[in-house]
Amino acid sequence: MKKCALLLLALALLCASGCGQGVGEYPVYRVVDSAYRDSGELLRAETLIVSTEDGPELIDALIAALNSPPGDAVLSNPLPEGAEILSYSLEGGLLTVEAGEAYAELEGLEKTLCDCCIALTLCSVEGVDAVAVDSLGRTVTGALSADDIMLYDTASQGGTQ
Amino acid sequence: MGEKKRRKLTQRVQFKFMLAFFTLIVALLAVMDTYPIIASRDLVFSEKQSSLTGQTAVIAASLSSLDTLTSDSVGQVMSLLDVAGLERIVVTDASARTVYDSASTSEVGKYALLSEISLALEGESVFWSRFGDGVFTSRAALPVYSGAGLSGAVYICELDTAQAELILSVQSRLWMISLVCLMAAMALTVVFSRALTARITRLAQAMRVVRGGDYEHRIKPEGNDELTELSEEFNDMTERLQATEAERRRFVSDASHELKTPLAAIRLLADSIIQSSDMDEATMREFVADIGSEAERLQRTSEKLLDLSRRDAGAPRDIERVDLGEAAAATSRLIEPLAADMSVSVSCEAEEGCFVLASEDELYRIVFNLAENAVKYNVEGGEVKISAARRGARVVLAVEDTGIGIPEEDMPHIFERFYRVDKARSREKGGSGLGLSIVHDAVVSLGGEIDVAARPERGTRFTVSFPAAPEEEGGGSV
Repeated sequence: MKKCALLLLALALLCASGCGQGVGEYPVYRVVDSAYRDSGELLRAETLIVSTEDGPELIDALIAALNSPPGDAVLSNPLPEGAEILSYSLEGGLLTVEAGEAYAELEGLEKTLCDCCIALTLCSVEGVDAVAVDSLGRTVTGALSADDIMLYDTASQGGTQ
Repeated sequence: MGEKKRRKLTQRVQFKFMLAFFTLIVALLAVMDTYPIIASRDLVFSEKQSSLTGQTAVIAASLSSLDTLTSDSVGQVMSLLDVAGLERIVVTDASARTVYDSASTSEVGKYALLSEISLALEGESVFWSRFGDGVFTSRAALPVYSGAGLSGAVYICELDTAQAELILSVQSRLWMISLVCLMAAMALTVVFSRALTARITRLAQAMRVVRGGDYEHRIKPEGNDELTELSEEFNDMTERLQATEAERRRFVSDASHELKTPLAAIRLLADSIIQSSDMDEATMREFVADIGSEAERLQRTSEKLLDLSRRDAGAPRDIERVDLGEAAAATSRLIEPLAADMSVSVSCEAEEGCFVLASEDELYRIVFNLAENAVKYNVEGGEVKISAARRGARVVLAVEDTGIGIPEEDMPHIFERFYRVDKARSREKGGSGLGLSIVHDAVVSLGGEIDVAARPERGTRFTVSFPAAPEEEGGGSV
């Protein structure tokens, strides 16, 4: 009798976790510090747990996380000061974010890392297929999707990761 | 025969021996199987580093002639290079965007966010290699510089299964050989340890047999090692035990006989007196006198047996400085009446300062027994000379007589218990065969030596020497 009651309670909890107002996990991509890159990783995702699946609220939460420093000491936020994401708009699967004026001055690998972290993070939201970045009123990064980014050399896995 | 103790397997010497040997062999084999593989692997790593960084440098140098890295220009350059054997070559621009990918053209234009490429774009030379899952995975990356500065990065990856299989094959064979060697070694260990412990077990068994009373039991020494020595010592000890036991039995038998004989005589005489109703007074007195003599003999024998028993038990004695010269002089006075009865003259020459460390009673008994024997076994008109002298660090007592002497063949046995040269004469003289035995044991216990020799003319000379007692503090000897 006792066992049955416990089983029912467990099932109820499982169902509750899958309902509309339940918890969701989303990746927030960061850059791995140079000293720790011998593992083969350049970008690593931290997990953001959100209590909503409403699109705009979710995007707001992810942007807020991208603008914040990471929790893991081996990771760093690629967005320099002044390059935070200020606002966004979503149209037809393309999410365009407006970044601070410092973003417009980014170039080379540094800019690439910022673009990719933003794209990989926000493309995890349902309905977002690609991300573009504007700054100082102009497009600094065109539509970039997760498919445009190679994080691992899958052709030479050989059991490595 | 005592029972063998039952022991747990882990308590046995054989188990401990096997365990120690097994542990040693396993450790040795582990080192021998591991070190060659590690050394081979490190050798391959070194060779890979040399090879891949060299190839990467060639590619980077070839691309350095291009002002800008584009997919077309890089493709043309790469087509001229012989870079066979590599799993993948990726060339990126300064922003990490792929401009060339040997694995797939569909990757061109994508961002290659590999840690190696990022480090190369920071100007570093990268190489790492890993051996696992049956393959050597090696990666290298270098920056590409053109006239305008850093223009991009080149990344190569190699998967070498051939060398990995070779090493794994060698490792596998090493383990197989090791396993066979281990089994052979353990089999030999079992054989040798069993042989070793079997000898120890036989020795223990032999000890149990001897402990049970079978002093004739011996074990056959095998080999020529420490256990052989132990076996030989055991046999020697058992032989001594056997001799001691035989001596004990003989002593008990002799003692019983010596005690039984006077008792039997007393009984016979008493029975004769009792059963004879018309025995005359003179005869009765004679019989009673004989009973008295036998009783005295019984008493003397009992006292001597008791003395021997106390000596064997190591009874404590009062050791002090005793003047052997005075003991000799006192003895000669004491023995005078007996000597006079037998028409034997006694003389004594004793030097001053003949001190020895001994029990006074014991020392006097030694001198008296020797002197008494010298008188008893003398002839009418014979002489007994007692002397005590200092000879360096020793004090020497000599008792010689002109008596009947001791035959040569009896000389080695006269200090044995109950040994008599002439049984009839000895019994007639009241002897028990224990006197000289007591003298010998007493002399030896005081650290002395006793010797017997025939006098050239006739008779016997006993010589006893003791270590001289140290001088008393505060002056010379008394």
